[in-house]
Amino acid sequence: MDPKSYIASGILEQYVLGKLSTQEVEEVERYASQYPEIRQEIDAIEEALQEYALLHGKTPPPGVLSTILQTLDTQGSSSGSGGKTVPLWAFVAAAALFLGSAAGWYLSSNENAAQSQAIASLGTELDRLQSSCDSTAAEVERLQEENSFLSNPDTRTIYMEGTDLSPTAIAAVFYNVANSRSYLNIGSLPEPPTDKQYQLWAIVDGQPVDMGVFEVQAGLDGVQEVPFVPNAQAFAVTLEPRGGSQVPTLDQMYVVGNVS
Amino acid sequence: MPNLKKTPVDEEVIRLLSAQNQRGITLLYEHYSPALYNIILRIVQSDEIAEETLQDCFLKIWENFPKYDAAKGRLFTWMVRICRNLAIDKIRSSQFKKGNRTETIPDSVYNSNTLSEELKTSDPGLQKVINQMDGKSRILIELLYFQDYTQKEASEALDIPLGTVKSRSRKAIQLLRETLGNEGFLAAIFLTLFETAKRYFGS
Repeated sequence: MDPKSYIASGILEQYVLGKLSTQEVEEVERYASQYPEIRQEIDAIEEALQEYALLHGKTPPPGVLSTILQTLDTQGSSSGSGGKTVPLWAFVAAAALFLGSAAGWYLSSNENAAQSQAIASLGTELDRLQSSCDSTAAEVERLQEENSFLSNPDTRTIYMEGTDLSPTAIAAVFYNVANSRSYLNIGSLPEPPTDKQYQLWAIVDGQPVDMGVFEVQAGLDGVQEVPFVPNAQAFAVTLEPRGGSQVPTLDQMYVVGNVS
Repeated sequence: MPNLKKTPVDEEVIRLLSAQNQRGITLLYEHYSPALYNIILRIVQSDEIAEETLQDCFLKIWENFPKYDAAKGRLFTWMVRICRNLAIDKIRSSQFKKGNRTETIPDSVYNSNTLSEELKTSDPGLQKVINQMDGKSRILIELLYFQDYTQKEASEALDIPLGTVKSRSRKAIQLLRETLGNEGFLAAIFLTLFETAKRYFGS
């Protein structure tokens, strides 16, 4: 067989074009494996027709590739029962993937728990700050009111001087008849025993009128509003049993001052 | 066995498909689906059937890939064979009758203007190559390659003796090789430069 005349016969073109019988195909393939020049000629013909086909390309409608890949995916997942053995590396990969995702899930759920804990504590902190802010605002309001009361020109200050029981003690009542309000400043009254409480009195027409008991403690704000008693001529503080008395215990009077 | 040149795309596709990596199908589709779709379309003559056949072809390529023997021929030739066989099966299973096809050669075969229009989307330089081929050679390749005519059918359709179909098609393909060989050289250089640039700048 002469390869050159075999090539020249044009049978190789028909081979590549797929126009030969099974018998002829076998013959061509046998010669191709024997004669490199025949094999190379086939490749050159293939190349030319491939180029020609690529030039005549027509883009298929969209979505074909995704349909193909989806079909391969579903085939792939059912191939286990189709007699095709799944390679070991697939099991290893699947196991690794599972462990990885399980670890990821565990870590992320831990992280989630930590985050919701942080959110909860931030919420508590926010509540605390909010109430602290509220009480500060209330305190500011109270002090402003107190300040405006004390600086009011109608407010008179009645100092109560220490008696023989506590000569150095001093306290004061701020008395405003115009708007019928009064405040007490505990001043330098000594801290009483725990079973006793100071009680404030107004003297109206020689008779004592109860104005309530009050605490004297270190660190306690010394100024507080007290009930208003009209027509007071004097104010006095006595030490009474806890809860106060109906009538003042006169020998336990600590401070006293006249409304001049 | 002579060391036949393989394109980098083919090498990558073969590597991926041998490893049963679906990326190989994607790569194949990106490079060859227009050419294969056109071949199928010329046989089945229906967009809908061609689309369906193209899907079947790629599934068959995936399934049958272990049977592909790179020593026997190019991947593309092998794929064209699968596409053509499936397309023929499709039209045989439908109402198509092969017998009356010899009387109806599509106008595009004779009408060079229609063919030129079809090629407008591809590289204008290579379009020139096709235009340089004489009408008879082009018609013969059209019938044998794209219309799936047998040698006998082609001889009847073109009214030439059966014996000359072989020599004519050899002449036609050699002409194709010549023209593609000259222009293809430049095209190959540009393609290489393009691929290199793509690799550098990321695709």
